[in-house]
Amino acid sequence: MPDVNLYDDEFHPSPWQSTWREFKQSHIALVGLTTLSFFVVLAILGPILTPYAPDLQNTTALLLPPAWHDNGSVLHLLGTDVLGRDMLSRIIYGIQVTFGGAVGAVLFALIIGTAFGVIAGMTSGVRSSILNHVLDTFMVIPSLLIAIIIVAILGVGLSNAVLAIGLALIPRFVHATRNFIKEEFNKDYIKTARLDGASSVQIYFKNILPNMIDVIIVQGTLAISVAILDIAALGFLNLGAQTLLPELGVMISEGLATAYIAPWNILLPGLSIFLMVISINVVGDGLRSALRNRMSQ
Amino acid sequence: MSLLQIDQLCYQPKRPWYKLAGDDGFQLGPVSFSLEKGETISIIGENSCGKSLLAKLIVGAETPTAGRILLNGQTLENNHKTQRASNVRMVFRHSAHALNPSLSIGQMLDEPLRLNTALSAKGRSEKIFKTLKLVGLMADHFYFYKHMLSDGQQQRVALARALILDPQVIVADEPFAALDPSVRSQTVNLLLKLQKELGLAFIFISHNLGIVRHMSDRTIVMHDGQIVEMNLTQTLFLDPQHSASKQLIHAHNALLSLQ
Repeated sequence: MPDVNLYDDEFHPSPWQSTWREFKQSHIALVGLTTLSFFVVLAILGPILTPYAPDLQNTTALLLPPAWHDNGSVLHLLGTDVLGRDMLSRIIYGIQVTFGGAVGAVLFALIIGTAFGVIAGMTSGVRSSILNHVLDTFMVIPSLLIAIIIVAILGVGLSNAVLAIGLALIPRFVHATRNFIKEEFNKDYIKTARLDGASSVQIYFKNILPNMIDVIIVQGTLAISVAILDIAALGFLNLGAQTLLPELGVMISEGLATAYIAPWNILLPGLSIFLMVISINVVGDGLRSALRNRMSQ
Repeated sequence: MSLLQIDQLCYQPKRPWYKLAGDDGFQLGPVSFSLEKGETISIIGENSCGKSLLAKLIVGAETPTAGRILLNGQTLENNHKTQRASNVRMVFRHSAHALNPSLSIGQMLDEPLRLNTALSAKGRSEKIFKTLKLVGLMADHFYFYKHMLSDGQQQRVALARALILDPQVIVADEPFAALDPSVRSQTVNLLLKLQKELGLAFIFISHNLGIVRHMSDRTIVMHDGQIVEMNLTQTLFLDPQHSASKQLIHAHNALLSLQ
């Protein structure tokens, strides 16, 4: 600390603090963040909050409508499905499975993809090209299709679906990281660091990583929304989670049979998928513009 | 013995593997000159005549194909980074990417000290505060980030980064190019003041012949990768010999007489 600090009261926000200040400016992004945190809390506290076990069958109340309906009952706030299972409990557990699975798949893809991207970005020539351009060709194929192919090889099941979606998401992280590092390495401040005698590894950790976290976070949030849709889609197609698991996509496909007499059986899981995806996208968008605007004052 | 001696320095870009034969393109050198303690040498010349490349060769950003660079009679080796990094420093031209946006000024200035000196954390921050003061910034700028500083202040930070290791030679590639006239004069005066106080030697690349004439003791004119003329600045500006230097100086004088 300097001996005489004239501006002791002055606030020097770090890049993270200024990102948050910029993020708060957007009301839509804040609403998205609130919704997203609501889902995160539901996913984490699921077993404590649910009134019933997700597979408990109440044979006296089959296809009960939600509580606000004339025939509804307060005992089953969101009604029951064709086997008399409580929809509220199943949806909370479903959020846990679908959202948790998506986060797991993205974390897996993020760690592997970023590592490969860093290697591809720091090397040059043939090695870099192979890592990058070969994986780039996979970006042409929709991730759901790749996931279906991988599931066809590994066999159905939730863990295989999560693994498949994780593998399918890797190329986008490799691509984003590599391009970012290539671009960054040409900037003057990297040249200055190199002239200071820093090695490539030191430059990466001290100079590039602090800038790269933005890219990773934005890519990560967008990837989570893709992963949620993919897990639900695989569940719906009976390729991912199997019938016994309360997964939102599985619940929609089960509800399809009774769609006319009990539309809430597909509406409510669909609504929660929709809300999760839109809140993540809104938060991702808000983050992106906050990161872009935080440096301009 | 001169402080810095450039001896027959040559540079030729490596021919890419898919180009079997043909024109080798641009070639620099052989270039020789020497720099005394406390002296300023300016390098002028038209675009793409090899000025910036020569600067990069001197600071070690590029490896010369032939020739030597001697500092106080010792050869500067590319693999001995500390020796070179702490004695010959470069100031890049001002640009949007000259400073890392996500590091505070303090962290930025800490890096060269951490890599090249054995100072403790406390010693390093003392040195940083001293250097910030030297270039006319305040100690509080330690906590600032790049986007909170004006262009002139950013250029001062770049200068602080060059000065922090107490170098003997500073190579500046158009350090004033993007600055407005008042900030430019401030920076010029700052450089001259620092030179007087610290006995620095400058190698200074510029297109602004007014500043060149004001600042430098000797001037080198480059043309097509070669030094075509080297003389005391006043002599060169009054009586240029080579056609390239005549062109540059007559153009400058014509602009001056219009004012």
